[in-house]
Amino acid sequence: MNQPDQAGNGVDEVLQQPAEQAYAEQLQALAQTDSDPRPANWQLSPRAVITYLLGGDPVRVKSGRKTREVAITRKFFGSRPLVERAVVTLASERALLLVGEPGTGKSWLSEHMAAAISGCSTLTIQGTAGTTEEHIRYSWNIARVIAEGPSAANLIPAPTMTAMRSGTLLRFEEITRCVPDVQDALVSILSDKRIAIPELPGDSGVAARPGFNIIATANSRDQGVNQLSAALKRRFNYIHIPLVADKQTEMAIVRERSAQLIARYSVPTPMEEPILDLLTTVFREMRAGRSEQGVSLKTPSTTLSTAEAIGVALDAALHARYFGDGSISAGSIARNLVGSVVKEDLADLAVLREYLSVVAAKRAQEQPLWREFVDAAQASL
Amino acid sequence: MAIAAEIDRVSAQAERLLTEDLYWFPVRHHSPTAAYFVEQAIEQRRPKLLLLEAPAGMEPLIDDLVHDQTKPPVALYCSFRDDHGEIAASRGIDTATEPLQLASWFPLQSYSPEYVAIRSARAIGAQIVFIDLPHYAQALHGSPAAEASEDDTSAADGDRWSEFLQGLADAAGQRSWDETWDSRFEIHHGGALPELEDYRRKLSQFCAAARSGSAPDRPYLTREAFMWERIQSALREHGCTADQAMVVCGGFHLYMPRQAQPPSPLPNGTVHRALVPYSDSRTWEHAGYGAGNRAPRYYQRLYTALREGQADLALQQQAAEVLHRVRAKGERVAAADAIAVRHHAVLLAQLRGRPAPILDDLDDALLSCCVKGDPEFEGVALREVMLQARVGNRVGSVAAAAGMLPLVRDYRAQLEQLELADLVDREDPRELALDRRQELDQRRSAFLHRLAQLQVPLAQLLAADSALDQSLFKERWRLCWSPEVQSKLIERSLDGDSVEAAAGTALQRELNQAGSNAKDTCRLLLRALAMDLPQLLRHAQAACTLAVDEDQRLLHLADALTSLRLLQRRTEDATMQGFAAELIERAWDRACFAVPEVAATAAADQGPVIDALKSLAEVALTQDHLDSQLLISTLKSAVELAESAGMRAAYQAILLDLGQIKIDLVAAELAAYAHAGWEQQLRAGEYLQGLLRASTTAIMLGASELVVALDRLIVSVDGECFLTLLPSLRAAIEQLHRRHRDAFIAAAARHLGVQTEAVEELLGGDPAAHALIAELDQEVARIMADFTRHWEPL
Repeated sequence: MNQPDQAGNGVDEVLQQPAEQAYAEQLQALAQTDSDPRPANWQLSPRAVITYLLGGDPVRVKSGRKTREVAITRKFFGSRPLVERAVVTLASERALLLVGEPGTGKSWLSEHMAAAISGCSTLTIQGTAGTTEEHIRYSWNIARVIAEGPSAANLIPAPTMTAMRSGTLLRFEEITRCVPDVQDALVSILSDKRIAIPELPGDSGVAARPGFNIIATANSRDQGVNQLSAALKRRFNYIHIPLVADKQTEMAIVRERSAQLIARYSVPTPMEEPILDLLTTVFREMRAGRSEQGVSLKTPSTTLSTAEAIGVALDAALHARYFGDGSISAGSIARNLVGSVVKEDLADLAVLREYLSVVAAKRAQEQPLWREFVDAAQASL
Repeated sequence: MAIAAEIDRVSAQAERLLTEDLYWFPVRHHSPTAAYFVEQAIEQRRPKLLLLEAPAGMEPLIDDLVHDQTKPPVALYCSFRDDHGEIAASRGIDTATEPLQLASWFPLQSYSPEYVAIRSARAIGAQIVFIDLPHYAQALHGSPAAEASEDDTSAADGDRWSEFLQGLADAAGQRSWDETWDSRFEIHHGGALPELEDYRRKLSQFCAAARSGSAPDRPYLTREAFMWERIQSALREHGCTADQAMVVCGGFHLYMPRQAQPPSPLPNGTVHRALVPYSDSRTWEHAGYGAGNRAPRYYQRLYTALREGQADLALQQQAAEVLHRVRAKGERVAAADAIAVRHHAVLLAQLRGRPAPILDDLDDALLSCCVKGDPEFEGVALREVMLQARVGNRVGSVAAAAGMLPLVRDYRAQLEQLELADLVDREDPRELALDRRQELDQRRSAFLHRLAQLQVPLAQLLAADSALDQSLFKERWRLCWSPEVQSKLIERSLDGDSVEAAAGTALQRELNQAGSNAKDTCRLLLRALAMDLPQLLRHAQAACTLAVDEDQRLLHLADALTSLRLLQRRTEDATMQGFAAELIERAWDRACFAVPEVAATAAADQGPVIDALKSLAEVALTQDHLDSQLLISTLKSAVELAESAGMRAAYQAILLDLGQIKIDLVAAELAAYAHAGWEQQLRAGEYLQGLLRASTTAIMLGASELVVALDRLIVSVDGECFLTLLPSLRAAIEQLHRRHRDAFIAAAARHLGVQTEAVEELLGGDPAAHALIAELDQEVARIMADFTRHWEPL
C-alpha cells in the first residue's frame, strides 16, 4: 500500500507527467467540441491543435448531465504563424525539425504537439553520440534469438517502429548529437515510410500507418557538430524557434513555468513580481549585451535562455524553502545566478562582474532590491 | 441578437446604396481584382460621366496619362506654394522668410482601379471628373500630412486608421490588414471569379460594416463633403441624370454624409501639376508611401492572370520565380521543394480558413520548406529574392508629348551636354569620380552641386560629413534616379527656369535666412563657389564679411574659419584668395577672443566646443601669418576661468599641443585628485575626458606620465568611489582613436610590467620573418589603396 510522505505526496505521484496526462482534461474538451476535419489518425484537427498550443476561449463540455467550462491555457508563447507552419508540416509529407538556441522551448513544443496530435508524447528517441541504428529501427532479444532463431516475436521495436505501426508521432530529441550514419537511418524511413527487416525472410517489414511523422529537435549551437546530410535535410522542414523577443512575454513564461515547478516543491510563497522583473531584466540585459539604458556590455558564452531563468527561479525557491525563510529574495536569485552565467568559460566571471559594476551597482544606489542583489552576487563571487 | 440586428442593418444600408440610380463602385487602391471589375462595370454600364476619387484639378493630365507612350507606374504630381500663408496660418507655422511648400503624388500602377477606370471611360467616350479634395487643401482643413501621398481609404489620422485596420485583422485572427483584404477580395479559387454585382455587393457590405465600427474625424468628413458637393455640381454641369453617371471611390466613401454644404474653400497659392514617372519600389508600402501596397510586382502578376482568366496561376508563377531566382544565387532548391512549397501553402490556407492560398501562405511555405535554419541567417538569400519578386523594379515613363516645364527641360538638356544622361536614368546607384581640374568634370561638379542645393535627390556627394575630408579637386558622387527627381524639379521650378537660376534663388534665400550667422554664411559662400555662381559669390562675400564681424560665437567662428581656409585653397581666383585671407584674419581674431566665453560650458555640451578649440589649435600650427600668441594668451586666461574640470582640462590639452605647458603639469593635476575630497575625486573622470578629447598628439607622447597619475588615483580612491568613477574613466579612454587607445594601453602595460611581446616571441627574432611581415603589410596597404581608388570607377 502506498504511504504518503511527510510532504503529503503519495508514492504513486510522479515527478513529471507526460503532457497528454497533465493536460488530459483540455485535450478531451477540445476533442469533444472539435468539428473540423482531422488528418488520418490525428486526435484533433489542426485548428484545434493550434488552440491547444496557443490557448483559446474556454470550451463548454458535457460531463454526464452537467455542462462545465474547461479553460484552454497557453502552452507555447511563440508566434501563431510559426506554430501553424509547424503543425501543417506534420500533416504533410515532410518531417519537422525544431531548431533554436538551448532553452527556447523546442522540446516543450514538441511534447505538446505530440500529445495533441497523437495523444502520446512518450515515443521518444534521445539523440546522443552513443545512439545507434538499433535505437532507431529495432533490436533483438539476443537470448531468444540464440534459442529460437530470429522471429517476429523476438524483435524489439524501437519507438520509431511503434510510432509507424500505430500511426503516431515520433519525437527525436537532439538529432544533431547523433553521428551522420545513424541519422541517415531516417532517410529511408521518411522516404519509403517503411522499415525492412531482412533478418526475417519473406517479411515485408513494417509500413507506417497514416498519421506517422517525426518531430526532431536540434540546438542551433550544435548544428556544426553533426550536421544533417543533404538527403535528410530535404526531408525535414526546419522551424526556427527564436529567443523570446519582448520582456513582457518572457516574464509571463518565467512566471507561469516557475510557479508550476515551485508548487511541486511546496515552497509556501510564490515569487513576487519585483523579483521576477529583476530576474528577467538581468537575463535579458546580459543576453543582449546592452542594458535598458543603452550601456553596452560584454556577453557571456552561455545562452542565458528563458529556460535558464526558470531554472534560476526554481533553485532560488529551493534555497529559500530549505535554507531560508521560504520567500524568494533578490539575494537568493543572485546566489543562484552565478552558476547559470559561469559554466565552462571562466571569462564569463568577468562578464558578470562588469554587469554588476556598470549596470546593477548604479541601480543599487536607488533601489534596495538591486542593492540586495548586488551585495549577494558580489559575496558569491 | 444584437449582432444579428446589426448585420441586418448593415446589409440593408448596402442594399439601399446598390439600388440607387447613381451607380457607386467601391475600390481599394492598387487592388487588381477591383481594377478587373471596374473595367467590366464601365464597359457594361457605359456611363456618360465618370466621377472618380482622384485629386480635383488634375483632369488636364488625363490625355497624357492615357497616351500610348505613357507606361505605368506613373504619378499625378501636384506642388503648392502657400503664397498667402493661409495654410501656414491655419497650422500655426511661422513662414516669415519662405512660404510653405507642399507636394503630393497620386501613384498609378497599370492595375490601379483608378487608372483602369480612366482608360475604360476614355475608351467609351465618357467625361471624367475627379472628385477628391486636393491634398494641399486637406492641409488647410487639418490633415496632418499634406505632403504625404493620397490614400483613398485613409482617415486623416494615419496612425489611428492603421490601428483600426489592424483591429479588423486581429478580429479575423490575421497578421495584417493586407492579409485580411486578400483573404476576402483577392482569392479566386480554381480561377472562378464572382459575378460583377456579387463582388460589388460583397465589398459594399464589408465597407458598410467596417465603417459602422469606425468614427471618421473632421478632416475626413471635410473631404467627403467636398466629394459630395463635387458629385452634385458635376452632374449639374454635365447635364447628366444620376443613372447616366458612375462614381468610383474608396469603399468607405460609399457611405459619405450627403448634406448639401457650401463648397470647401481651396487655399490660394501657386499650383503646379504634372504627370511624372514612378516606380514599383516607390509604390511599395515600406518606401514611405502611405497608401502603397505590399507587393507591387505580385499584384501586377495577379492582374495579368485575372485578365487572362487564369487567376490561380499568379501564385504559382510567383513561387516559380522565387525558386528560380534563389537557385540562380547558388542555393540548393530542388523540384521536390517546389512541390512541398505548393502543398504546404495549400495546407496553411486550409488551416487558416481560406479556400486557396494567398501571398502570406506562400511566403510562410517558402520559409518552411526552403530555409534550413534561422531565416535571419540561413534564409537571407531566399528572403532577399522573395522581396525582389514581391516588389519589382519597374520604372514608369511618361509620353514625350506631355508638357515639360522649363526647369525640367533645362535639367535634361544639361544631362545630355554633360554626358550624364545614360548614368542617371536608372534606379541602381552608380558612382561618379570627378577631378575638378578637368573642364568637363568641373562643369559636372557645378551642376551636381546645384542639384544638391535644389534638394533634387539625384546625386549624393560621398564623404561629405566633413568638408576637410575631401581632397581639394577630387569628388566622388553617388548617382541614383528616383521618382522624386522630377517631382522636386517641378516643385523647384517656382525658383527659376534653369537649374543655375533656381539654384541661385535657393542659395540667395538661404543667405537671407543666415543673417549674421558666420558659420552658415561661410558655408554658403563655399557652396556658391562649388556651384560656380559668380553673381551669388559676391552676395555671399558681403554676407560673410558682415557675419564674421557680428557673430561672437566660438563654434560659428571656428566653423567659418574652416570654410574660409577651404575657400582659399580651392579658388584659383587671386581676388577671392585675397578676400579669404583677409576674412580669415578677422575670423581668427574674433574666434580667439571668444575662447574664454565657453569656459562655463556644461559637460553635456563640451564635445563640439572642444572640437572647435582643436580646430583653432590646428590653424595656429599651420598658418604662420596668424597671431598664435593671441590664442595662447586667451587659452591661459580661460584655464583660470573654467568652471568644470572637463573644460579646464581641454584648455590645458590645447596649450599642451601648442607646446606652452609640459605634460608633467597635467599629470600632476590628475594625480592631485587622489588626495582630494570624495566629491572632488569624482571629477577626475571628467578631467581625463576633457584632456583626452582635446589633445591629439602631445597626450600620447606623454601617455606614461598620465598612466602613472591615473594609477595613483585609482589606488587611492575607495571601492564605491571607484565604481562611480569607472563609467567616466571608461568613456574617457573609449573616445580615443583606436591607435591612440592602443598606445595608451601599451603605456599602462609597461607601467604595470605586464607587457608581452607576442609577435616578437612568435617570430623568434628572425629578421627574415620581420622583413616578410613588413613586405606583406606594404602589399596589403597598396592593394587596399588601389581598391579604394578604383572601386566601381566610371
